[in-house]
Amino acid sequence: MFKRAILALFGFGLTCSAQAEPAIITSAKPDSISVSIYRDPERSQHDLQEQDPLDLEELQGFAMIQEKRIVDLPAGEAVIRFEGVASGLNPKSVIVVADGVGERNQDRRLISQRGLIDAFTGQRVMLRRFNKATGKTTTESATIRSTPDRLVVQTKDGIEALQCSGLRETLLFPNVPATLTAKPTLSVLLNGKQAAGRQTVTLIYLATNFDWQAHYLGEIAADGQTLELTGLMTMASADETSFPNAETGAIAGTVLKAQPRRIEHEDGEYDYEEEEERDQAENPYSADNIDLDYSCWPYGTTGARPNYGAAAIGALPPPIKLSLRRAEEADALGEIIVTANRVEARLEDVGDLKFYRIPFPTTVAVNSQKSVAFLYRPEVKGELLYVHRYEGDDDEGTYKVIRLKNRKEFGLGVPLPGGSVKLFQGQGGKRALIFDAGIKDKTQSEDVDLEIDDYSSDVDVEFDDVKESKNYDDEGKGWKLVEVKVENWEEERRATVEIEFRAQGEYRHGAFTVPLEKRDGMQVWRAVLKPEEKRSFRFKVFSNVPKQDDGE
Amino acid sequence: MGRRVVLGMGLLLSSAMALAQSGVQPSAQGDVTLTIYSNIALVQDVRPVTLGQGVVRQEFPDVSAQIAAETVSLGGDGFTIMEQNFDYDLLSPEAMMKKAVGQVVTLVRTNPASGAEIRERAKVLAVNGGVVIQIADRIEVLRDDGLPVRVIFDSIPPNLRARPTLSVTLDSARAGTRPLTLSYLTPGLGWEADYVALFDENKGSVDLQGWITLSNSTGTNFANARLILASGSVGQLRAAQAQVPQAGQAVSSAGTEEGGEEELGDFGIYRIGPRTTVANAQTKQLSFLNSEGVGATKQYQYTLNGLYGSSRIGQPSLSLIQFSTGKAGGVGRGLPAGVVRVYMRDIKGEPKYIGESRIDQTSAGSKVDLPTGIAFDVKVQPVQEKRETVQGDQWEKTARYRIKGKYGEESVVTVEVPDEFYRTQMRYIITNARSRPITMKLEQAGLGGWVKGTRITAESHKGEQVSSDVRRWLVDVPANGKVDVTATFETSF
Repeated sequence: MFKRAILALFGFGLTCSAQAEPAIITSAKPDSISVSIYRDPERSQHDLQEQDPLDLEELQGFAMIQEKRIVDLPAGEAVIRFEGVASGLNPKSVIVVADGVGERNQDRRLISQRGLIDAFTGQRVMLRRFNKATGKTTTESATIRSTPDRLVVQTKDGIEALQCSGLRETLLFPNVPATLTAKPTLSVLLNGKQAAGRQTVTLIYLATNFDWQAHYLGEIAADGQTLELTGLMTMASADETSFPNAETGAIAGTVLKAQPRRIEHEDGEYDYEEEEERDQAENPYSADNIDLDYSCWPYGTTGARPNYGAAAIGALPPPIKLSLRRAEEADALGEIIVTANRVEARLEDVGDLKFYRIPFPTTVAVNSQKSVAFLYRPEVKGELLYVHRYEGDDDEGTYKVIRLKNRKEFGLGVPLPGGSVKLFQGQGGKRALIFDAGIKDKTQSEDVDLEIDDYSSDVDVEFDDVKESKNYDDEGKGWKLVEVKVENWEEERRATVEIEFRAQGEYRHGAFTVPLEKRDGMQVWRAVLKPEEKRSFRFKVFSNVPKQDDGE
Repeated sequence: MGRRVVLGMGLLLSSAMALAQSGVQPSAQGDVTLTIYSNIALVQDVRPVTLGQGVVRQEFPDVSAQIAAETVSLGGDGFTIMEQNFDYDLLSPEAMMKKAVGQVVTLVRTNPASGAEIRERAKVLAVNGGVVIQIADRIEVLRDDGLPVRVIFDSIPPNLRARPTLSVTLDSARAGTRPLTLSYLTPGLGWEADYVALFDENKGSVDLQGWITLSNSTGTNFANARLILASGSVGQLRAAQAQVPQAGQAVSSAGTEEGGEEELGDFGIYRIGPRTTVANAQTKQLSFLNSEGVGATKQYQYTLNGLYGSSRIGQPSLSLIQFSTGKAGGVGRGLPAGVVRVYMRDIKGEPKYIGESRIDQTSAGSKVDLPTGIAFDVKVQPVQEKRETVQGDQWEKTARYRIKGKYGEESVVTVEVPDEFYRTQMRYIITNARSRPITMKLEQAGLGGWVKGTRITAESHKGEQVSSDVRRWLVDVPANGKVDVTATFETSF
């Protein structure tokens, strides 16, 4: 027996010495850092109504983080462990700029009840029991015989299940295994080709739980002809790591994210793998799984007694429980820092994206928001319009629109990232919010229509069908005669009205009784109506429905 | 000599002690080779095993906890397999109690008032929802009163194990140590390629780095393993890929050049450098490609589907980066499927992420189109200028004119002419607010598969028919400029 044990050790010893363990260097924090925040790619394509204030608890954007770390590298194989990276780090996105990077790893075996039991399975630990009545603590040696979710230990008395007895029991571990880390930790293995000595290692990665949002605030001048426009960007981080003195910026434009991997099944069907969900479900160290529920033998009793064990020894706190969520999380929520209302962010192009750089170092704190101005234009010329849209044979309704021409000569002419727009106007000495809508990304030279559905419209546009041909809307050609009535209800103000006619599908518009303006893809009736003025005109909708195919 | 051996033992002992203390368990695995497909892996594990003679039972601990037991095979000399078992009857308090039915256990009762302990022996009668025990001539339900009771079992039943364990009953022809090759399939091991592309628009080049990302959720560590990666999933053919790029999905036109990778059946095979440890719950990335200065161009793409109607405002276009996997000016090898993350340098020279795309497995000599984002400054406004019905006789004229030039006159009579067709005049207004010229790949799709005599009777730029359904124009647009493209289509719809 003894001989066998020695042989086994000998064999093991050989494999140990064959592999010299590489030196481990730990880089505790970055020496300089830059954080570029990207918007939620989905949100920027969605409804403008969703351009609402950011919800810190559900930030769907992300950030690109670049860290420079000064590290003293040894010669030969070495592992660098990077601590203090963003908690939302996507391990697949990591770039490490250093010589001799052979492989990189993200370890998720965390120092936790699960990790400890897992690492010490088959080994000796101490089992401590507390006797409530005598106040005595007893400790004995025990060997863990099973894996974390089904804890069985062996003591000198025999085999026992842990925490099934109703006594206060816990395990004491001799040390923290080297394979466990406090947080998911990124490491790289250098293959020995690096130059030894002090080096700067650059780390670039993407991290979730960031977002930003543009907000436009406009003051309409008393004459209603110009607008003082300020653009603010609100950047938010819900990461658990704080980035002090970071070069910070925001990226506008829409980046594409890769589609999830397609999984093909044997029957030819396929679905898309929700990688993150799968990862959460499979990773025993994810927040959902890390807690251990020690299963005991069946607990069935002769009566309902839900708080099992408590009757005998009073309310017990859960014995080994470690929360990964930050305790101060709730307190830190909602911290908003407004830097200034001065234009701080500088615009530059990165490919097809717009990068707004904050020119001084700033701190991107844990669960925080900050706002910086990126645009100020004192006199933007705009026009208030009532726009009615008629597409095909659909009446799309009237919108109250403030139209800005995004050109220098109109006081603007800059890229406008999508966001919310709030316009104010002084009315009788009071400042009132008169406009609250949103825009999508707009580049130079584009018209910017700030529009809202206007239910209590000052301008009424009505379409009455007068008559239609027999086969209108049926197979072949037909027409419908429509009368348009426009009325300005305002008693004091003129109203500029535009009615847009756009051909759609099999419907076209013609035979107008008034002249129309031709614009790209539409015909427009435009008029300035005096207070309480009414106008009317007629036109025809022509339909031309293809004959039904009888098949080939 | 003897003394040196003893000293050596002492050293080994202490190192083993240190290992035990640091919580690292020695593995029973031998020389492991992992062949990893996208979602399943073949494990080959050569272990030196000492067998007795005759019928012996051999255990193989430290196999994947997700082992597909029906795929296990064992290779080696001088034995025949009689039976193999995969014991996934795992050791747990409940399993212990169930196996103890009919047996005697020790109870230690603690008096909650005095703290005094009483020991007694009890027989487990049944485990059905609750544990029913017999102590002398009393029958009771275990812990029904809620008072603390420790249950101590005498031993662990032989079939219950901490981790899934494979055991094989062998008829061994001779005693002695020999290598046995254990092989099996297991889910929970997978790999994917991840790429980093640094695009330089001024130089027209891209630096491409490729990483193999391995993930292990088998519940088992594989130490110092040899790695072989196979692209494609077993027994599952990749479906034909779509031709029109979608957001987030790159397409490539297949190439024919010989790649650097080995081919095995329909799989691309990649052998990965030195041995490595694939730990459970670990994401590991290994470098496999570093290709600098690959020729790359920037392009924009807008595809309009159908000929109906106009857009009110300019529509955003896709921003693409195009490069080749060919040897001349390209990557020079095939690329396994994965996600390409693209970066560009900002004015300070620091890289900024500009978007990503997934590529399918791409052979050497292919052209890769990577959509990275939606262009902020480049837009296309499609406008239907005119749509009219044309009578049949006009149709025939057009048809004769077109066909004469291209196919000769004989074929004219075979064309089936509808009574009436539609002539649609389209205008595509391309605006570029960037301060550099761009190339727009403008596409009109939904041309009805060309089957019913769809024609393009006029176009302002020379187009290319990429498929029976899609017409494409490559249009150069100057910096801060605007270009109109017009085309007239004749269709039966």
